[in-house]
Amino acid sequence: MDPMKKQNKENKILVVDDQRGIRTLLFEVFKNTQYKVFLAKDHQEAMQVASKEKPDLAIIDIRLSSENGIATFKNLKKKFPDLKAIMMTAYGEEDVVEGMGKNEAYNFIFKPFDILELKAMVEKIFDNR
Amino acid sequence: MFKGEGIRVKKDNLNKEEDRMFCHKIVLDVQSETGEIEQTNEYYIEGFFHQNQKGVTINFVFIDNLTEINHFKEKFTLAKKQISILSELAVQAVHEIRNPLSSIKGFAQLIQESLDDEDDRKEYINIIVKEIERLNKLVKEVFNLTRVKEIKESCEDIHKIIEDIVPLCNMYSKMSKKQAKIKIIKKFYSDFPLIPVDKEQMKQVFLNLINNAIEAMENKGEIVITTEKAGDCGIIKIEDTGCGIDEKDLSKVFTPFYTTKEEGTGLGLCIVKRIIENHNGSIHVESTKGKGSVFTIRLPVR
Repeated sequence: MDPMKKQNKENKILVVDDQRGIRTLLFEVFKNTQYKVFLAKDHQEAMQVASKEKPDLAIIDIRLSSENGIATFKNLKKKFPDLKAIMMTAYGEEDVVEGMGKNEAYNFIFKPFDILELKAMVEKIFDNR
Repeated sequence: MFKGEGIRVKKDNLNKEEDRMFCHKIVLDVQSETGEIEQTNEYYIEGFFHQNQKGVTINFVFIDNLTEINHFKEKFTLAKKQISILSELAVQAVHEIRNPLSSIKGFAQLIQESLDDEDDRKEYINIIVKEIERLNKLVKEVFNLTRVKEIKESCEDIHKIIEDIVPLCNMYSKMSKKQAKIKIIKKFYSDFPLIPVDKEQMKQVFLNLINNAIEAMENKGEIVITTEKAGDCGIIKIEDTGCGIDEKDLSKVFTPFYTTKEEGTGLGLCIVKRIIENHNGSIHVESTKGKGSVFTIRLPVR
């Protein structure tokens, strides 16, 4: 990482997805930015990494293989009330989205997403903080 | 379920699925020449009424014993179960496909960012990304077709639904044909009735039809959306001044995977037809090559 970009107070992003491809992709997308990225493959790992790193934003897949991404979001939120989130979802899962209700704490992005769109979304979330 | 000696059904009573089903028992006595009953045979007629704009049609099976009725019922239940398994499979498949698609698309975009502007390979990546988007669209539409989706009906103002999607269509027109001057004209019948429909599904219908009309036109043209009432039906016509459809192809337009567009999936009209039929309505198309096409939808008011 460019040491010039390294600031004292870095914004931290936690990516929670059971797919290695997506985790690696999101790491690559954000690695040379002002954000620091951490990866977790499941709920348990997400909780462990979050306890240690205290992320500002979590990008979570709604469908994790072992459990529901929404449960992961809710548990993270309990521990870190200021945490923002982007839920990754797919067409056809609108019912899940509806079930979560309207909330300022999270945004949705549909897979397969556009990385530029995702970057813009992340920037906007941090700008509004 | 109607049971008993005679089948009398009022037209108004055919709204609920269970009311449309009937099972009727026929007892047939075989008499000897002297009038003695030699044998008593029991038969059943089981089926359902189907209401469309032409009237009521009856589909039934004639069953000569109860074992067969049960056999028929078992087969029906099994078929229903298989459909729901297939539907669940489709949901899973969509989920499994979108993950690799996301990775492929994302990494392709990352490679693109790392290339110089003059690099020809930027165009290759553009093609990769576009093709992934096409695959995604295909997956979405197959998913829509296979999903057993519950119709959430409520009485809706069809004009309002059309008004809501016209701006989307205008945007689509501007994006896909930058030079095009396409006018969308609404000729709404002021006394058009409220119709029980699933609003979201109906939006999809008009979106597919109007976008198709836009795609059928070169640089300028008109799309006229007319509504009228005929008896118990609301009629919505979508007329364009586009390229029209060859007469030999007219019967194929609602068939899955039939398309004349390079980037089409061939499922749009198939979805439209399915949604309309799920609402007990009908759709048909008339077209003159080089002049344009008219799609006419009929929806029962009830």
